[in-house]
Amino acid sequence: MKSRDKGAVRRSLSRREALSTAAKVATGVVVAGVVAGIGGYLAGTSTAPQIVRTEVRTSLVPTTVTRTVGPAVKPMKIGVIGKSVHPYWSVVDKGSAKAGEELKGTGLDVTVTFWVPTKEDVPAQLRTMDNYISEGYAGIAVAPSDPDAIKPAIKRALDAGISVITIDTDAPASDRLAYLGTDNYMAGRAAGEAMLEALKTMGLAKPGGKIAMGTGSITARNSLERMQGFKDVVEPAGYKVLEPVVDNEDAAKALELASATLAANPDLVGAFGVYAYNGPAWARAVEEAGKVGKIAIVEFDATKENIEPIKAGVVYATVAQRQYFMGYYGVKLLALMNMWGRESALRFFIPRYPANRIFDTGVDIVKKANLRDYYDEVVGRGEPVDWTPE
Amino acid sequence: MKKNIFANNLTQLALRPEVTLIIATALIATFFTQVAPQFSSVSNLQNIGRWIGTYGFMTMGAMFALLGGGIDLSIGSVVAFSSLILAHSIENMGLDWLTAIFITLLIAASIGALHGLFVSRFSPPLPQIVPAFLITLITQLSLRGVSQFWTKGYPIVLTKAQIPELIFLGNGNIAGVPVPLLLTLIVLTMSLVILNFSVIGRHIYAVGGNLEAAIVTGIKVRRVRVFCYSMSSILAAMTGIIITARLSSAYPGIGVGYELQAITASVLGGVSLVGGEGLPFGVILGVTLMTVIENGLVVMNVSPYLHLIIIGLLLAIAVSIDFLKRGRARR
Repeated sequence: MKSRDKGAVRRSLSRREALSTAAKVATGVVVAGVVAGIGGYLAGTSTAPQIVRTEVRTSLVPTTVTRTVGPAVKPMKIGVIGKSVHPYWSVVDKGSAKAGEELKGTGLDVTVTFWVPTKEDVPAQLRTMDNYISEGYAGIAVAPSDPDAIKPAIKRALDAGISVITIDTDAPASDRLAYLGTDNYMAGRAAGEAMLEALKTMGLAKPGGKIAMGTGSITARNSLERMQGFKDVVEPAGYKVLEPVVDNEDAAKALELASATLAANPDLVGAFGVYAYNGPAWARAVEEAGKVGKIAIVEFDATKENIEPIKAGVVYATVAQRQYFMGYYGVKLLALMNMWGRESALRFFIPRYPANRIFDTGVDIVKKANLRDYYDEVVGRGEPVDWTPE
Repeated sequence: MKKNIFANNLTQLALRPEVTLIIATALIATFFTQVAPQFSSVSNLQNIGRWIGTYGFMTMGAMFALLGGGIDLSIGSVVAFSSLILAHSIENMGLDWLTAIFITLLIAASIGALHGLFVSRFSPPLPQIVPAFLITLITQLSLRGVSQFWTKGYPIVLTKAQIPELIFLGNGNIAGVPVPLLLTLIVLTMSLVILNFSVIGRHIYAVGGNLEAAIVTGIKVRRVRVFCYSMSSILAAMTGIIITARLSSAYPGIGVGYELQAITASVLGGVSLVGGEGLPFGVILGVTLMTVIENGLVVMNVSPYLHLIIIGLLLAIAVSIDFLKRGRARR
């Protein structure tokens, strides 16, 4: 079939005929390309439009036709929507930008736009989604502040032919094609295991001991899942978990609540910080109350504020997310979906798809003992790091 | 006749919002102590005192803006911004902590002065609340934006051993009393003196109470406003400084919604939303009531899903009683 088409192109010199022929070529090649292309997406040569270009060139059709038939690279815009201005999202930004650079390096015309509202803001996220839809983006990776409110916007985007995945926070009830991020329940369980280890190591293990939790939200799913995972590990081990204290993402408030909890529970043995600043708040409150070494603290995330108290021995361990990879793989998956079609890309990317639509980026448990190794790894991938292991 | 005046004075006193607040706070505190004895432990009382102190500054700031017939919506952003300025000048510019505080307050004062000048440029003819609302909202947005753009969301962490004096400002106690509370009481005394015994104090009430009359009387309205808004920003910066000292770091995300908290506490303490009425003592009581409620709920380990409902209900009750009484007092 291919050779016959080639012949046709050679015979014809009129633009219209060349066009229609090329279209046939394209159809054939798209089918072939999808089958053949898997595995080589980084090279960027296996995409359908580019094969069309090659075919036409070998058949010596005038250049004007070449341009009409298959532009060398189709411009592709990918949007990444984060939750708030925070170092955590700066790392996601770095990861997405890196993926964009790498894709560009393969000759693709990819523009990656990263956007966050100044603080968690559901309407602003929806507005940005709508902007991206109307600007004809190829794909959107969104971290919904409200997984239910985002549902219609995701549907609108998919209806407009735009691939949508969720990162960091899932919206399982929506039609999103996949979720890339920390499985927060598993991460919460990891924090629970770290807490049990801390209690044992610090000699605080005792049945019925009270453990407190501090969080920035009691509606955000990631916060709820982390707390549930944490509880599901420490409660069967015989500990009593108190009601969480909620600061609405205000670090000053977090400290106020942490101090109040310490004052109210003199028999507290452990404290869990769910959001990045919660761990440092517990650390500061424990220091103020003169209880260093008497309360095991496990926290989330790994910025300078989290690492300093680990170095000082006030916090036992932190659960570090791999948010860099949410941006990195998120952008690549979207680009791939745009080039290969959604199904092929998802099958290539996600183990057990379509039964499973979640890509768990995993967590690292960082303690004083493995601080150096963790530092080397993170710096090795070029993540922005504002702390040193010594 | 004499007796009658005395009785009248007593009713007047009982009808003051301050009295309502003291009674309400005492009742609520007793309740908390009954349910959770840890509430009245020394460490928790110190804790409460420290936060009354911390939030007290900015609430008195909000009071100054309200008394002068304006409103300051930029408080939360000024808290965050001044916190960053302080941490930046100490950590990155290597300044002495006192100099850093001085610079922070100076910058805050100039922000406030700009607010005052803007309001004076457009009011009169506009009612003064309109430009006040707009310009402070603009500052709220833009200062928050500057803070976030500047830090990219990262906190500026202070290296601890460097400045024990600053830490003491936030975490220290003098004779068991938290330093922020002592500082707030000093500011409270100063405000009382300014408002009750100085010319500018009387002028503030005049401008807030009846702008046209104040202009006709020849009061330098612009000067009064610059003073009010500067006080508001300076006191917000004080809150920012104390928070920085407590956390040993400056977070660009703190202070969101503080202006509403401060305005609520002020109104609770008897400050009129339309200006010209209210006393700093009541304002501190307003902060106390709100802090006590919040702290008590945490100490009782109440489910966080119920916190806002309970706080809302308690405030509704306190405010309604106060308004009812005030209505009676006027009649």
